[in-house]
Amino acid sequence: MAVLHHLHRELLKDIVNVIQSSPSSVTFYKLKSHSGIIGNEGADHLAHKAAVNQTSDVSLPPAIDPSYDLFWLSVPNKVGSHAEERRVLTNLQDKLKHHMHAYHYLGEANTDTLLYKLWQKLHDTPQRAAQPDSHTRQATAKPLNCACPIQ
Amino acid sequence: MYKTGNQSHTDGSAMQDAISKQQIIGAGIFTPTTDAGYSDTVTINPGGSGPTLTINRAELAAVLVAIQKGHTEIATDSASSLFQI
Repeated sequence: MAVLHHLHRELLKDIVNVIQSSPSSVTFYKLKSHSGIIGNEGADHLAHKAAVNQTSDVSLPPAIDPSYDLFWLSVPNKVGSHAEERRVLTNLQDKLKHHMHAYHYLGEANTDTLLYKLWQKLHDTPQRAAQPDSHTRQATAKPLNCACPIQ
Repeated sequence: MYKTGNQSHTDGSAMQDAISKQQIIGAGIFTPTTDAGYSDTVTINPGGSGPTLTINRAELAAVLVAIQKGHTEIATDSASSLFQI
């Protein structure tokens, strides 16, 4: 899957296709560059010659645009606009959130239902029973500016 | 070391043009002296443009042309190309 977004994916695909269609196995050897191996030095000389002179025995087809199959989310411009026909979405997060809330049962829960209110009532009842009410807390609170002990 | 046979050495080159300051790349295949008593040399235009003018493309182009020519033992000094294939 990584080859799908490789910069030279068309070359890699061609290499793999040729290897797979080859009747005999293909063996690769890794050599240390510039170590005096005659074959490697000869290939290096040829590559340098091809780059400098821009003359070659074999020419590969021009490289494809590396981003030709990448899709950008965009929306059409206003009718009559002289700008480009489509513009790239900049507030993508808001658009996605709106879409998810509009078409999928995701995001914030709907709290305006009878079932949710019943669950909330059952869930909050034990906590409210355990906590003292606000009137009791005021009576037992220690005043900060009073030096006398609380009776 | 590798055996003698249908083998070839591939390499790529990338540099900056002194005049136009553009990146230029090229590739080459060197086939050592065979039993028939000759050595073969091939220069390759990898065909890149813009962001694809890289040394990696030159190395891969050399490997591709070598395989297309029927070489079954390919020696290269590019470890990254071997990992990608």
